[in-house]
Amino acid sequence: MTLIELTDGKKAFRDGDREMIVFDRVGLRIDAGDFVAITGRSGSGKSTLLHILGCMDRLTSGTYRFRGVPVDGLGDAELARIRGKHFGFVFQSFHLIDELTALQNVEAPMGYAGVPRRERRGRALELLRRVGLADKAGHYPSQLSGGQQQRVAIARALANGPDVIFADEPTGSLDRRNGERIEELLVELNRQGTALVLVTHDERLASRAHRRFVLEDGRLLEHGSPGG
Amino acid sequence: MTGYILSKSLLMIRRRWKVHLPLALQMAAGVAVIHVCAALWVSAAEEYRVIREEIGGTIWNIVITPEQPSSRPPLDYEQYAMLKARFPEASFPFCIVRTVHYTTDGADVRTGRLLYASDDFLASVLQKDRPGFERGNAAYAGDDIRGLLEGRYRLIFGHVPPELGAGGEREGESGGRLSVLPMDELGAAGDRFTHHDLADWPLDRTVLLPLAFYDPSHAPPQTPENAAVFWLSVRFDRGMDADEAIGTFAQILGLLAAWNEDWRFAADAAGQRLLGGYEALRDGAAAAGGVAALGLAIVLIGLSAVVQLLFLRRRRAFAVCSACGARKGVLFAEMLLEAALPSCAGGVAGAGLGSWCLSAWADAVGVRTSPAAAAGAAVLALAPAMLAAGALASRFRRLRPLEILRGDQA
Repeated sequence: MTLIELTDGKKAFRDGDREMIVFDRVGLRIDAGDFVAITGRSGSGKSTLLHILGCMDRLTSGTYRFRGVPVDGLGDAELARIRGKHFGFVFQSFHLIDELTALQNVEAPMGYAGVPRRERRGRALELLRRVGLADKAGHYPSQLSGGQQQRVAIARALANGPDVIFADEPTGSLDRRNGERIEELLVELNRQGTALVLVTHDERLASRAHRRFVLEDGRLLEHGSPGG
Repeated sequence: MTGYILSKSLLMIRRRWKVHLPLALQMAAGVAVIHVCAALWVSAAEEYRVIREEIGGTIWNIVITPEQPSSRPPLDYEQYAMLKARFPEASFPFCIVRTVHYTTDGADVRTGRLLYASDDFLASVLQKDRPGFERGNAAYAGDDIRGLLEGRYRLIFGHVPPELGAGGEREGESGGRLSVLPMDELGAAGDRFTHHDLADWPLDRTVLLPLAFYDPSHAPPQTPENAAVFWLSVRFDRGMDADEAIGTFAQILGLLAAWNEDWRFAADAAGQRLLGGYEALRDGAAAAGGVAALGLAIVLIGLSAVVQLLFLRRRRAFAVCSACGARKGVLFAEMLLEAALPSCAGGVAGAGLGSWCLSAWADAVGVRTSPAAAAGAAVLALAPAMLAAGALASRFRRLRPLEILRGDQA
């Protein structure tokens, strides 16, 4: 089943009278259970593309459909609902909320989705167990290592049972050992049926994706295709 | 979701208790002080109103005492007329009292009084309007003392002016002509004086003479028994502004002192008490208002600083929560609860503390508990919520939480 379909997508910013095009005529389809890696040089617009795919930003022109529904005309509240219910995000710098424990961080997306307290607590504990951090449930982010924080972030991304997880350089801030552990975790999640879209510089991680794309000079090219 | 928002806000407050606790305590103290000061202010305003009415309707008596022996009266008729002309907004009951002792048969000694009175004195003390009496030619004598004036009784001590010698109409040594009429013709209410220094003094032993007829050269040697006594009062129109009345009264005292340095002029004890009370209340109310305003300013400055600080510290968390599906309105509600709840709780506690203090100290300091002050304190207790809402609303209007994440990833 096609989850996301981006057609003729263009993103540009205005700098005075000048239009700075980040990418143009980008097309991409992501199916359920897909594993897509997007690579490219720094500043090529990978993260911008990921934010658009994750409904955190809007296209300048083109069409973006989620489950066949165009999202361009949707309001902020509706986009927030889609993000909360269908998407999960993993960031390079983890972005855990410092004032909340690991368990409370994982609970947050469920809280905003209106999941009752007891249910969200049970599910959050289960997710922490799944990423191997059940014993750190009461720890604050400052009491966790980088790898542990990223695993909490992955558990949080899984909180509402998303269709797609968007990961932006998920191993970028980690040492090799922790990076590999996160990599395995993400691959395992994908094996279990969650679509995975990741932006990375890590060739080894990108090589494990089903499909690889390169964003270069504003064009998204599939790896292995002519020009890719 | 409401439950989650509330529980998360409480969690955040607990995590940042070092920020919130001083603020809540500051708020509690501020509202308590303001509540007490507001009650003090209301009490002062009420007391002020009462005093103001008293000032408008009260006769301010001037105590006149000699600084040194003097042949001049403290206020002659010309000066009195100038006083009246200069301060038309006031009336001046003025009377010079001379005492005489006489006997009917040598054994029965009686005391009589000669009162050189102004029109205002007649109007104020005898409730009789006799415009022009003070400089006219009519005198009124009581039945008993007429015996002395007509020569039937003998003068023992004191001085009877020649204008009042035996017979009806007389020409005085100073050239004035005086008709001595029966006191009944004055038509005074009652047969006794109600003036505080002449309480229950019978009119039939009294002669009322025009003020202008007083001639100090007729005075016998000054002795404590028969020295002339001067009663001067000032009465302002009811409804006259209290500050203006007090200022005018001070001017009058100054003028009298300047005209005749041999005499000392001062407000009597009741007037001084009224003045002192008025000034104390005015100063107290001003001080209370100043303290209240200062307290409020400190609380509000502290609160707005903390709200801004909290907002800045939470910007990234807003972005993360927004990525996790939180709407902007939900984030606003969370932040508002976190920023305002401790302060509001402190404010409510402060309002309660203020009420307790007022009820405990009401008798001691004479402050009334005031529903208006209590209502004001309750509104003030909720002010942090309004202030925080205002500050956060403008911040949130400009907030693009997801742009913060995009900035981080760039």
